[in-house]
Formats: sequence, C-alpha cells, structure tokens
Amino acid sequence: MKQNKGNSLKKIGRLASLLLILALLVPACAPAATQAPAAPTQPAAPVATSAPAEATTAPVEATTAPVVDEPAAPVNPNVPDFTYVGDPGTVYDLNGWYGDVGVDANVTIRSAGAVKVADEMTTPMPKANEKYTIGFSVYYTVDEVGSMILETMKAAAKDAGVELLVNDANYDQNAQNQAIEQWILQGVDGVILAPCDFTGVKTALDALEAANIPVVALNAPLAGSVDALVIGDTVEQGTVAGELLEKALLDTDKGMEGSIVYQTLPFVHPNAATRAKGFIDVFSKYPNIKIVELTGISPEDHYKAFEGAMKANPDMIGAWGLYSSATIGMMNAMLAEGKTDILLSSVDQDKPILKGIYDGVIVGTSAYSSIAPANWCMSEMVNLLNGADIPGVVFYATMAVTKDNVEEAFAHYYPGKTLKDYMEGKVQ
Amino acid sequence: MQTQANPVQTPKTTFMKLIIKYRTIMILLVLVVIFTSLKPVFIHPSNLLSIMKNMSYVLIAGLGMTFIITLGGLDLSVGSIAAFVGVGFAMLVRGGLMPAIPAGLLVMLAALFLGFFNGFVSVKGKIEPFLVTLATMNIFRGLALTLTTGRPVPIVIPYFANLFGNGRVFGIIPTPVIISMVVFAVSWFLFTHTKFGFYVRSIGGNPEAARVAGIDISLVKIAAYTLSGLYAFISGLILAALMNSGLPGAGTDLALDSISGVILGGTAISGGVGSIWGTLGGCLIIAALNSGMALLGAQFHVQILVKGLVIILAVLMDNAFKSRQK
Amino acid sequence: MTLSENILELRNISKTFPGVVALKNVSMEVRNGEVHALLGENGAGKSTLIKILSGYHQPDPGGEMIVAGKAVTYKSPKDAIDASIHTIYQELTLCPDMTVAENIVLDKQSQFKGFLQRKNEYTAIAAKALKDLGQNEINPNWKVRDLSIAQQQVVEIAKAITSNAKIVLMDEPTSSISQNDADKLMDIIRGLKAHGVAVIYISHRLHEIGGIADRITVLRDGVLVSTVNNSDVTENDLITMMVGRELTNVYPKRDVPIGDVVLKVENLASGEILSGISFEVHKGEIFGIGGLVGSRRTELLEALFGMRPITEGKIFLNAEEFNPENPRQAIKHKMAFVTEDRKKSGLVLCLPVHENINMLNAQKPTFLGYLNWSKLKESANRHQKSLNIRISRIEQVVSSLSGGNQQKVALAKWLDFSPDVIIFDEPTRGIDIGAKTEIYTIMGDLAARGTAIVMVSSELPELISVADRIMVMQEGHMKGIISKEDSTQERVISLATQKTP
Repeated sequence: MKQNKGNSLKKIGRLASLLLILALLVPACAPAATQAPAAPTQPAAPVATSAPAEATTAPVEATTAPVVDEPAAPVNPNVPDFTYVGDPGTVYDLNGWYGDVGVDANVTIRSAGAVKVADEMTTPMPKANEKYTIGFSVYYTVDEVGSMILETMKAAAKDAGVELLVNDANYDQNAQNQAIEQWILQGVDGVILAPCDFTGVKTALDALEAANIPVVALNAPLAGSVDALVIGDTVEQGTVAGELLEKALLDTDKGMEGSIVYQTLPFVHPNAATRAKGFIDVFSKYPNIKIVELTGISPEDHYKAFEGAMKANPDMIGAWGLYSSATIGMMNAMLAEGKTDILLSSVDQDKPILKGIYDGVIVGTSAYSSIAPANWCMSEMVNLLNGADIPGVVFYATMAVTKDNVEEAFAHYYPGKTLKDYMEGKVQ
Repeated sequence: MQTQANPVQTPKTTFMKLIIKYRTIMILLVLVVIFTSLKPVFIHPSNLLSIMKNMSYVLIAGLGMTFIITLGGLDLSVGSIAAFVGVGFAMLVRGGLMPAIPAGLLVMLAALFLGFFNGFVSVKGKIEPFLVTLATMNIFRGLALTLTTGRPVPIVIPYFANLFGNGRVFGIIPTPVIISMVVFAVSWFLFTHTKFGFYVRSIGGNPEAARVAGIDISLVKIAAYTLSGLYAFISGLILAALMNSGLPGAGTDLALDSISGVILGGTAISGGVGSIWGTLGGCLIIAALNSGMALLGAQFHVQILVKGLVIILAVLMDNAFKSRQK
Repeated sequence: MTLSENILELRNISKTFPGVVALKNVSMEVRNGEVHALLGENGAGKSTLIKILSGYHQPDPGGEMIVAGKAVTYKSPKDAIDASIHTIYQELTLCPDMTVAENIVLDKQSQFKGFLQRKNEYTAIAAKALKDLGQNEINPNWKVRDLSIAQQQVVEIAKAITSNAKIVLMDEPTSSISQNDADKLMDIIRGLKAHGVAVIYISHRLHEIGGIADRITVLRDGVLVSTVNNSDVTENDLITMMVGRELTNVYPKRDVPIGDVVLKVENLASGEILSGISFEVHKGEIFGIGGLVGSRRTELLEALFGMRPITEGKIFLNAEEFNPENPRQAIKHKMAFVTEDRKKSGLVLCLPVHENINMLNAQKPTFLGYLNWSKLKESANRHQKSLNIRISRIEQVVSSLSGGNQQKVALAKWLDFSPDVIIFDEPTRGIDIGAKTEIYTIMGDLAARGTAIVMVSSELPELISVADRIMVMQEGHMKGIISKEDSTQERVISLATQKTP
C-alpha cells in the first residue's frame, strides 16, 4: 500500500503532490486576471469587426486594412478561379442548405459570398504580408485523405510564407479544443480546422471568437461562428454518383426496375446526409426502383452488410457506397460472391476504388481532390489575414471518374504516381 | 525484511529507490521539464489550467475506476454510461419534457442503475466483471445510439455549459477543474477514511479473508459498481457540457484512458493496492502528455506510441518497486 | 544389474528450512521392483522426502543420492524425470482439456521430429501403455476432463511407464478414490512391480500398506525410525514406531472451570463430505479435533462457520438452534474462526497490521461510515502489546511479518468482540516454538474468560496436551471422542488410521 511506506516519506509524497497541484493552480490565478490571451502579433483583424451573417450587408468594405506600408487595398489573387454561386454580397445560406436534408445546422459565416472552384488552383497562392502563425487542426491522419491534407497544408504554408502549427486530433473533439486553446495562448494569427465533431467544435469556435482569432473551417461545423468554409458540394457528389449509376444501368438492358442498395454511416453525418439526398434525387423519377439503406463503419461492417443484402434483395440491380469504406467492403463482398451483374458506384477516390473502376468492378466514382481543399483553406486564411476580400464558402470541385478517365484521375489525385505502378505494386 | 534497514546503502541506490518510490511524480516532473523546455508556453498557467480541465472527466472516471480496480475488478462501460448520460439529459431538456434539475436527477438515477446492473450481474451471475462490462459497454452505447438514432442532441440550456463545461470560477478556474477536485477530495475521504473504502481494499487484497471476517462481499461489489455509475454520470455531464451537446459517440476512450491513469498511479490491476493520489498523478501524466504532444504538433501515430511507452515504463518501475519491497 | 540390486540409495540426506529441520540424516534403499511404503504422521518429513526425490527441493550438502548406481544431483523436477523417477501427486497434474494420448506424450515431445502433431503415433503409444496396465477401457482419444479421478491416475501411471520410469512415487494415491478403484490400483501396482518398476508408496492407510508393501520405512520428526519387512510387523507395531516418542507436557493448558454447553452439534452432515458428527463444547473448554490429512476436519469447521452447506443435523449455540448460511451470521452469533491458511483466508497480506487487526472493529456502525483511524490504531496498538506482536510499526504491511506474528494478527482481529466460541484451525502451523507457546497461553487466557474453543490440530503432542477432549475424524466421519485422561498418541493414531468398518 502506498500509505504504509513510512510516515515521513508518505508525508513528503503528499506534500510533493500538493505542491504540484498548487504549482498548477496558483500561478494560474495570479496573472490570468490581467492576461488577455488574444494574439499580440495579430494584424488589425479586418474581418473580426465586420457585421455577422446578416444577408443584407457586404461587410468587407466596412473596414479598411490599416497595414502601414501598403497604401493600396490588398487584392485576393485567387479571384479568377472563383465561380460565384448566388449573390457575392450575401452570406450563403448554408444552414438552409443543410436544413433541406434534415441536418440541424447553426453555423454563422462571417464573410459574404459563395464560390465554386476548380480542383487545381490556377492562380498563385497569396503571399503573407507578415510572417503569420497559423494553427491547423486536422480531424485525423490515420487514412490517406487525412495524411494528404496534412502534407498539402504544410506545403501550402511554405508556399504562402506562414508558420504552421499542426494538431492531429484523431476524432477527439476535446483534444482538438485543447489544441486550439493552446494556440490561443500562443497567440496564433489564425486557425484552420477540420472539425472532429460537428457540434462539439462550438466550444473551440466560441473561444476563438472571444479571442478575436480568424477561423477557416475545412468541412462545415454545424454550430458556431467562422470566417469562411471550404467544403465539398456533397449534394453534388451524391448526384454525380447517382448519375454514374443511372447511366450504367441505362446502358444495360435490365430496365429501371428493382432495388438499389446504398451503404452509409450508422449515425447522422452532414456529409452523408447531403450525399444521400443528391443520390436519391437522381432516382426519384423511376417509380419502380426501390432504394434500400444499410449502415456500417468499417469496411468489414460493409462487407458483411452487403453480403446479407445480396441474399435479401435478389432484385438488386445496382449499389452505391456512400464513402470509401462502404464501397471497398461492398466491392469485396461482390467479388467474393462472384456477382458481377450488380452495378456499383461510389464516392471518394481511394486507390482501391480507382483500381476497381479500372478492373470494371465499379462503374464510377464521384471524386474530389485531397490536395485542393487544403490549398483553398490556406488561400482563404492568408487572404483574410492580408486584409483581402474572401468568399465565405468555397465549394471545391467534384469529378466523375469512370473507366475512361480513371488513369488520368489517379495521376491527378496522387501526383507523381500512376495507376499502373500502383497495380503492379510499385507504389503504395 | 523491510523492517531492517540496510546499513550499507550507497547514495546511488538510495537515489534510485527514491525515484522508484515516487515514480508517478518523477515521470510527471520529467514530462513538465521536457515539454517546457521545448515549448515554454506549456508551463503557462492558462495551459496548466487547460490541462486540468481536459483531464477532469478522465480523472473523475479514473477515481471511480480506482475503487473498481482496487476491488480486483474492471469497468469498461464507463464511457458508454457517460455517453448515455449526455444524450439522456440533452433529450429530456430539449423536448421541454423536464426542467434541468429533475432531468439531471433522473439521468443520475439511470446512471446509478446502469452501474448497479454491472455489479448485480457480475456478482449474482458470477461472471467476470471484465466480461460483464465488455457486454454492457456495447449495450449502453447501443442505448445511447438508439435513443438518438445517432444524432448529436444539442443542449438547449445556456447555463448548463457554463456550469459544467466552459464556465470559470472567478473568471479563472474552469468549472470542470473545481468539480474534479471536489470529487477527488470526496473520493480520497471515501477511500481512506470510510468503511466502504476499507472493505474495497480488503476484498481486493484477499476476498476469502474478507468473507471469513464477515464482510458482505456481494454488497460491497455491487455498491462499488453503482458508485462507478455515479462517477460516470459526473464525467458524462462534463463531457456533454464541453461539447454543448449529448453525443452518442462521446467517451469511447474514457474507460481505457481512465484505466491507464489508474495504472500509472500505481494501483495494482490484481487488486488490493490502490491510491487515490496516484490516480490523480497518473491522470495528470496522461493529460500532460496530451497537451505537450499537441503543442509539439505530433501526429496521432506518435502520440499513442509515446503514451504506450510511458505506461510500460511506469509499470516496469512499479514492478521494480515491488521487488525491492520484498 | 540384477533384480535384487538397489535402484535407489539415499545416504545421509538432510533438509533444513529456515528455522526448521525437516529431514535429518535419512539413509534408505529401495530395491529394484519392490513396493516400498513410506509411513509417518503429519509433519514427519514424508513430503519433504518426496519433494527431494522428485527434484523440487535440493537436499542439504553432505548427503548423497544414488540412482541405479550413479550419484545424482537434481536441479529441477525435469532432472528427476530424466533419471527415471516419476511422481504421481495427490493432486493430479494432467491437462484436462487435452486427450489421454496428448497428455501421455506431453513430456516426450523431444522424441518427435517436426512441427506437426503426429496424432496416430500418439494414440498408438498411449494405447499400448494403457494395455500394458490392463486398462483397455480408457480410450486414448478421450478428454482427460471426462475421466474419473482413478482413471486419471492410470493416465499418470501410463505417462510414467512410457517414459521408462524405474521408480514411481505415489503420494496418497487412494485418498480421493473409491475402495473399488483402490483395489484396481493395487493390481496396477503389482503389475508395475512385475515389470521391475520400484514403487514408493506413501499412505496413511495402514491396512493398504499391509496389503501391498514389501518393505516399510517409518519416519518421525524428520528422522528415519526404521525400515522393516512388511511380513515382520503388525499394524500396532507400526503405530508405535510412528508415535514412539516421550510425551513431555510442554504445553499445559491453564486449569479453568468447565462451564455450561455453549456449542452443541447433533448428527451433522454436509453432502457427501461430512456425516454423523455430534459433539458438545463447554465454556472454558478446549475441544480438540484430530485426524490425518484428508479426514475433513477443516471442512467440519467451515460447516460450523457457515462456509459449507449443512444438509442434515443441527447446531445449537447457547441452546438456540443456529443454521449459519455465511460467516457473517456466524460472527453475529459470536463465533470466531482463526483459519488454517493465514495467507489464503486469514489475512489481507497487502494491508497493514492495524487494518488487519481492525477487520472486524471497522464493521461497527459509525456515522456515514467514517473510520477514525487514529482510534482504531490505538486499539490495534493495544492488541499488539498484549499479544506481543513484534513489529517495527503498526502500519507495517502484514506480508512482511514472520509466521508467528502473522498468526497473532489473524487472531487479534477477533478479540475485541469477545466471541463465545473461537475455532482454531491448525493454530501453530509453520510457526516457531516460542510463538507456539505464546499462542497456547493466549488460548488458555481465552478459555479462562469462559470462551469455548474448538481446535483442529495435526500435531499430536499439541492436541493431547492442550485439548480437554479430542474428537478423532476419518474421511468426514467421527471415529470417537477421547477424554483427557484416556488420550494417548497411540489412541489417536489408531482411531485415525484404522479401517472404517
């Protein structure tokens, strides 16, 4: 027992622990009253004072960038890449966009306008006016998409001339919130975050708002306030996947009759819900098609679920994996059963999916780059800090990948690698 | 024998002995020194408070777990109970079904019942607590997911988040820190100065001797698991307040994190030997690691690697300590 | 090597444990193909001798072990097996979920080449061995779990002979099998003997030894008394040899008045374990219970203390009927139990002395369950002084104490609630002479205060000098109660060993 190792030593031990607690507590109380954690190095934050998301104002003009040595108003060099959606002067109604599919969103976007962008930035990455320090918290890096986002962000930071602090939250919103608290303390100039939990991130967003630190979110939080969002048009992703399947079905002589199974996550995820809406809408015009939803998390879950589905739905004509784990599980279940007559479409551009398209097991996928979103986040953040005008929502592009363009798509999404090398095992 | 002091002790062995004896504090100090030298902001008071805030719900679950592990048991279901609590509370107050206080009490009773269920099934069914709580971990999580159909449920009471999550006492100390310190003090008292704590240690040390001495083993075990449900309730409230919502997926790592904290604190997984102070130290180690690694921008891959190594190191030191004691 | 030659010779084998001489200069021979019985009362040194022969203990330097003409020293049990000495323990050591054949070849894996199991070879080896033993009804492919204890014993023997054992040690092989199975075992032993295998047979059952042994070696207090031919001795001769010591009255009980009946047991039975037990214990009396290993004395105590279901008969405490379902109820009725195995059930070893002493005190009702440790420590200190428990401080962990001091701690926890009946199970096992005397003094004091004491002991001198009356048990039955005046070691031993009618 701890208690029995000698009275004096025990006391020392307790005293030491007590001191440690005090060491943690006391200094915390003393200076904190005077300490304002807002970044001292922050430039005069032009956006923070702007009016919030009221649709009627175009708030950016309201403030001028008081950067001393720069008389001309800063320019956003990326504007030529933008295709505006709706009124550039109005804050995009993202909450309504989510509301259409039954997702409760209460996000406040501080910048007006929404744009669609191409996969590749044709314009140069903006250069930072000062050596900004930017924190980037990524939800996870345990798969290729997460890792690529992190690597791209690092490269983009170098390109833009900013210092990047990174945090890998691994799906733990509390860890992400803690990292952000630390950045506030360190006085970062801006934070880019990909939320782990869409509502739990509000705590961090509130703290950033209170500290006057600009935020760009990659993927939309459902609560809280951000300066700008970089998101995929997930409804469009679903639509593209649906159209790929529809076209493939029409190309056969089966007729549009029977069931289509799609597999998604077992809980409500805004991206999943929007993708599902896009997909289902494509088939709403075919009254004889029945859509069946199944759920799972890991590829194994989806493998098992689809194996069952093939038995339960003998009239199955098509299937759709809403995200990569679903497709990968479903594809392997299909191969194991030798069912080649079921047409499968997908979202995501994981390498096994692209190989499946090449092999003819998958009719096509609705793909998007893992590189572009990171670059657009950096562009938004640096432009914002430079005092340039930025759009409040950036939708990055969706590409339909089929057998015809799969090799180009592979080279595009995985620069420096080819599908052929991958299939021969030369690259990972 | 321990009572006879060895007259020829070199200063070196004495030093090693001290290090091993106060291994928890030593590891903590080493971490503080390393992280501070790499990132001075680590030692900043606000960061230290942030560490303690983020530790709070793990510490609370860990304090409950200290009783359970000292008893020779294990409770894997605390994370699921915590999720159930958050979700249940959020749903009760959101639908306007109930005012906050009755809702809180109702959810607390439910959490107590879930803990009781663990203990009752394990004792009466004579099933290893590991197996029972492995099963209920899934059952309770399933309950939380079923109730919400997987959706996060926002908590509509504005002061709730302040009271249990992001509020600060005197504008400085986060409320979860205060709550966890109160729970810590109560736990310490319960563990060292009450019959219940004494029974827990006796049963964990030698159930047969406790039985012959007339201690009601079944009752104490069931009570301990019920208490663990209460700790999970407090932990769950804080989690929900920090997240502003009841998340059916909350606390997935809570059981393992709190067990790690307890083990780091020197409580023996075989039972009988436990320390509330140790659990505080162990949880601080984990929290300091989390914070330091985040400051360094380490990827998750590295984070878990280092965490695992520290646990092995602590357990090795523990064994060294025990073999020296003999 | 001729048949009459000695397969095993021991010369001056001694074994000293800290504070105890377990064996002193034992010299004996075992001949090829003989059945050699080893006899002695509890603590005579038989187990130590077995453990030396099977390689678990190393004898003190100076002695010599010669197996088949070669001097050997064992470092581990494996060395003993390599020297073809196989031991069949009371508690069998087979893997229950493996088949008979797998168990038989388990210790011979080095004979088989390659990585894969050779099931057919295994089965063939096992089948042949079982056939040699005349045990065709055991299928080599059965799981050991499904076999009876007697059949498992056969498998152990088969395991030994397939390893070319020259000597087979059997430790109380008939203690847990039926008479019928025991008879079969005797046939197997005769078969082994015919194959030239020497059997060293340890048993308390004199009649069994009379029926099977060629020669008998009697041990007493670690010393070899004599090796005799079976045909030359009677059972009574053997009893005298086993006991044969001067009974000096080293542990006199205080002379206290014997009062009313406190504990009364009527025709008590517990399933198949105990039956037909009746006795009374009076105020101020020390009631001894004697018997050999396996006589189920501890089981009787457990039944009295609510740890074993009572299926028949009645217990009365102070003339009130009492049927304890658990120790808590027994304690409520003012009974105390100082258990045999301090480590297993008497103490919480990882807790300090004062917490162990207060194991019962701490259960008294308090406000909100608060424990005032400084007060409790005081009472622990009091006991520590009055019982003369030698420790450096009261917070010392119990596991670091010597056996005698541990026993006093285990006893101390019962004293504050002044029990009417205290049950002692082997109160002086494993503790030194000085501490023993102290324990007897404490028991005497308790008796003087009017406590009724029930004491199980395997040490005959202790039983005879401390107890007022002695009940002798054999295999869960009561064999008789001996009054103080009539009690002799021979009386106890003969009641404990004689065949159940």
